[in-house]
Amino acid sequence: MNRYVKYLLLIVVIGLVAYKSVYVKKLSGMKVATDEKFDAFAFSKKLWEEKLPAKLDSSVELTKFIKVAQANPPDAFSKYTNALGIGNYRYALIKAEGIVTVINDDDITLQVKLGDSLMTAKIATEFIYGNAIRDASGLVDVKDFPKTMDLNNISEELNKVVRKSLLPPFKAAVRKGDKVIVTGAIEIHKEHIKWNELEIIPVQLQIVQ
Amino acid sequence: MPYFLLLLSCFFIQCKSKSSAEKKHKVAIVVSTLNNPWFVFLANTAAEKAKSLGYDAKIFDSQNNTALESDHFENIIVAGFEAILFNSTDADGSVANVLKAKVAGIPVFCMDREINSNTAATSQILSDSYSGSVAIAKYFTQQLNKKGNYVEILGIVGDNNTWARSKGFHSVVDNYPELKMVAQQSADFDRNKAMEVMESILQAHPDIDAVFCGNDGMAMGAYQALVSSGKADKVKVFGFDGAEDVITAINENKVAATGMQFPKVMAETAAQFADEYIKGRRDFPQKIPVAVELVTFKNIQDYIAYGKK
Repeated sequence: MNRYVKYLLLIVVIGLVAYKSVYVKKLSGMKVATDEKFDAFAFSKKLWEEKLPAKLDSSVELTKFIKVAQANPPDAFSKYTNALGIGNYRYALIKAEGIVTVINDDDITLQVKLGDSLMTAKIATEFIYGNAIRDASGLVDVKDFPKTMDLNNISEELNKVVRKSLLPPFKAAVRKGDKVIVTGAIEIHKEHIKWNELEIIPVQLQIVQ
Repeated sequence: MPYFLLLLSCFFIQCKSKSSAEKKHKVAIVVSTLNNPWFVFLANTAAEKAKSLGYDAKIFDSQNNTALESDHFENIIVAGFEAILFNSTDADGSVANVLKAKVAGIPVFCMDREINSNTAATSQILSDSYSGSVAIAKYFTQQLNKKGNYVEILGIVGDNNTWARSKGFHSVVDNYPELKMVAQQSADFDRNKAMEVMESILQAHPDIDAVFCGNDGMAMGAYQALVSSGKADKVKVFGFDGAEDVITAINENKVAATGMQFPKVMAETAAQFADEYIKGRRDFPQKIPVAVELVTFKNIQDYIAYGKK
């Protein structure tokens, strides 16, 4: 009898040890825990809806930016531009008002007053790609994103909003001779500034009747 | 006697401090291959910058071989180098080597090529390959008027830059359904392989309008194949790097565009970071993107090989 009790106790002990040693979890649950993917769509939507409007309100007038940049480039770059990485490209959020002189498949040309003279600037209406909006906003810090692809995906999502929501109704409505107010991002090469080739990636567009 | 011993010990202390003052700190530069002028430039620039900061610098060539790279790391750890400026052979395969150095207390600063770990290297200074390819793809689409058949020649499939460039490129061109990729093949970032790959693709797909290559060496290989088949004037070639022969080819209207990387900026930043680490700094961003610039016939006058004028 004692022998059976001994065996029984032994089985109970082994069973307890085995039970405490092995944990069973759902594979799907483990996948969620180890593969925490950054939701670029949600992040960009929040940025676009909640943080970007305030930045747009404080964007610099294009003509003012040009004047400062022509007089003192380092001052203009430090005051009005931003970039996530190292390099020659800087990005600024600007506001401009002008008359539509040309409408192309890929862009429209605005004639903008620059003091006593006139200058032209293009609003991109087709090729909305790259990091202009993300970097110009100054709302994304490279230190918060150790995965490079997450940063790329933020740009992609912001650009998608422009391509899919902002531009279609604008392109359908805009006519030559219209007065347009645009707020958007520009890319400037610090070493080779070409003011006559400025391209604005729009974030807000308004046709003034 | 005690005075004599004191004098003797002072003498030894002085000798020791003199020898340690004379002993230079050592920095290792481990580069994926020295069989490509771009990486030779990267390695030499890193070595020059390290020397200018007062270090002994030694270059190790991994010959695109992770096992050889591993041997280099073991030798570097044993030899007492204080920092490693690193250009990896494989995004996954190189992580173990970087971790070995980390365990040995040696900081590793990656240059140009990313490794698939956010904790192994002290910092990674990387070309923004994705964004550079986005800029190339935009120009590519404009040059082809949004339609045509094209070929993509990829780099080493285990290298993150290969996929960052490809993904950046496709993030634009895939939005244009009339742009059709008829072939996509790897040529391992190698000029000769790219020529062979392009020759064989041309046999199957003689009617193409453009070829996008993951680096300039492959772009030149593809261009040679196009010259041999008499199609060089019809097919537009796009590269990535900013290497000397492609800059010359863009100037002569033989190659349509490239993405200019700045190996000097990456190498010098990595050496500077290593110096700062050795002097006590510890707060480095894990990844720093270095902008890639689009170079075409229109702005070629602003650039020289591996950088801007």
